[in-house]
Amino acid sequence: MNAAPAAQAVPLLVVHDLAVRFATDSGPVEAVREVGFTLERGEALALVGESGSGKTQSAMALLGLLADNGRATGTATLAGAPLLGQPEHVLRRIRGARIGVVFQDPMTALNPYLTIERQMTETLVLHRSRSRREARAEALQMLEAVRITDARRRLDQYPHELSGGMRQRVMIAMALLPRPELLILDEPTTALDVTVQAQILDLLAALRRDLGTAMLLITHDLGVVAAVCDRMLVMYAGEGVEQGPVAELLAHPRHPYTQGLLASLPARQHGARLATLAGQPPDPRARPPGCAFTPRCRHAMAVCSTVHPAWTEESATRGRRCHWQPPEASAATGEAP
Amino acid sequence: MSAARLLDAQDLAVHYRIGGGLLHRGRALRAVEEVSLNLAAGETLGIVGESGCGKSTLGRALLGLTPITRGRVMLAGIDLTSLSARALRAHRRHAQMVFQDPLASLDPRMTVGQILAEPLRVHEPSMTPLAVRARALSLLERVGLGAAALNGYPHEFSGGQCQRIGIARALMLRPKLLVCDEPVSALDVSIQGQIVNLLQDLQAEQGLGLVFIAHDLAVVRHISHRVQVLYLGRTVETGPTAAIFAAPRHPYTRGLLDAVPEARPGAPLRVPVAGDLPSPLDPPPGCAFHPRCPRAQARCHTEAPALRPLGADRAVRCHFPLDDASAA
Repeated sequence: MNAAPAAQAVPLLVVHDLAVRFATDSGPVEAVREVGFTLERGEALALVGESGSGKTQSAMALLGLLADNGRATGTATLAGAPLLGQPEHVLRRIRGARIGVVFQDPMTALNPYLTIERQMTETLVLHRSRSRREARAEALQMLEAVRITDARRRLDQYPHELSGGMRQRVMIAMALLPRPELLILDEPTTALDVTVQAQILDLLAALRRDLGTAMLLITHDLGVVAAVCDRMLVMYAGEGVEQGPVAELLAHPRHPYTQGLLASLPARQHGARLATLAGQPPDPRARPPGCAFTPRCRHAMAVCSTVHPAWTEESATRGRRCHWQPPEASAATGEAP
Repeated sequence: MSAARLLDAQDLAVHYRIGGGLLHRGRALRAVEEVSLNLAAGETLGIVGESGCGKSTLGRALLGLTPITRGRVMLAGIDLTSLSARALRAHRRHAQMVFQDPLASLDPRMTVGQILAEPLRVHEPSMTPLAVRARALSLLERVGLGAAALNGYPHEFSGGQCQRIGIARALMLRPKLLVCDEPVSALDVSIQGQIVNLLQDLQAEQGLGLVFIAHDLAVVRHISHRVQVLYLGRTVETGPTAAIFAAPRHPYTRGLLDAVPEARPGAPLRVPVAGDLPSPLDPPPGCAFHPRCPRAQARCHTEAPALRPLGADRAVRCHFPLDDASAA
């Protein structure tokens, strides 16, 4: 990375030219390529995309949690210190203290045989030399911060005794316990009912306000993005295709994929037929040579199928990877809500 | 019951015994209780609710795929509960199911051609292989897959393509009714619309009745003529889609609509319903929704409300329904 001017604070997370490749029986598969973004302290950035867009693998690469056959290249720094390529014992310490992680399904991340107290306090006791009593008090305080009802009783319960929404609150409390600078959330509400999802989104917004924790939120749901995040990076076929402030991108998307995605949301439509994006994302093993979105793009030109478009910063806050120039004015909006 | 009705379920209940053993009978899980619904040919009824509301059990009960504890289901004029197991199997051809997980619902060891032929092997054994193949080909074409798909295996297809295959399989017997259980919730948004449009086109061409079970209100709103909202196994509100979405009368329906985060700049984040869904094994007394209801009063804690008609085509199960004005 370029050395930042000394006076200016270093951004919390800087990712540059990230690529993730998996070795498979049918040859190498590039799941992520040329992904870059910056996250300031206290900011919430969404990585948005559909299945196979590379959003989850990008986060796994940062955490050093790729599957054995995966390899990440590029650079990523946390508060200026390198993250990618660090040995496992360093990454484990970072994950335990500076980056908290919340996954989609809390049941797979919680140990079914340990009480909530044990799951929450083990690290505090082993690595932070807290007494059991101190650790229990801290766990209780954090459960209350994530608005768990009857928190004292929950400490002695097992994961299966809690509802899905409550388990996700426990996961968030566990992730926040070491007071991390960054919280990475991978589809944190996808498995929840919509009424419970609303409660968790409200909690995340409140935690941002109260604790100032930066968040990297991975989701396919643009409603979730609008509820929690400041900025978003839209991903398609392993690449970032458009980036900018959430409110601007939702109102004035400039990449044809973002436009199509927004226009295909059923909630935005009143016609007899749903507008759709024709076709489907490319097979990552047979990515087209030019822009990966070309076969589905209504603005595709000859150059799109041969030349891979470069990432372009189009303003101080927005960037895009596309050959097509949308007409200036505000004509390039998605369908009005 | 009107003769025109394709499907007519009255006072349906499906209970499961949980836990029982040698010495005690276990507890009854009332997955579906007192549910009535009907559907005409060419019509779509949306069944809406969160996990544990009984919507999938209801879907299976409508097809005679799960034993009914009480009530009856008339399908194409015949009471499913009156049929022998053999007669039920034969009658079931009129109603087919489309599942949530398209890949898991297709046998991985069979080619698409074999998968499509399977229902005919059972229900129309006299049909020649050539005729079966012709029907499979025309349906594959109709759902947007070419003839080449016939020799492929499920894992070679994307999620959206597998759902197209699932729909083609459901149509092989030329049913009158399709029960679709979360047919698009496993699919990406850009693919969902393709499947919804396909179902609507097929309905228009063939006069299919559709029961569309889903938790995604935007999709339900788009495809359904009428909507029935379930909570803990019971209908809490039913009526024409436009009316329900414009002015829900049950506080739970209102809450469901408000809880969906909007992909719109500056959209307010609302938490209209507090708490979690109670265990269906231990439902709250009185109105099952009262512990989470912002309008609950003393009466709601003790007295279970009945499903009361509101005008000709709506009904709500609530002691204190929202009025039209407050819902606007």
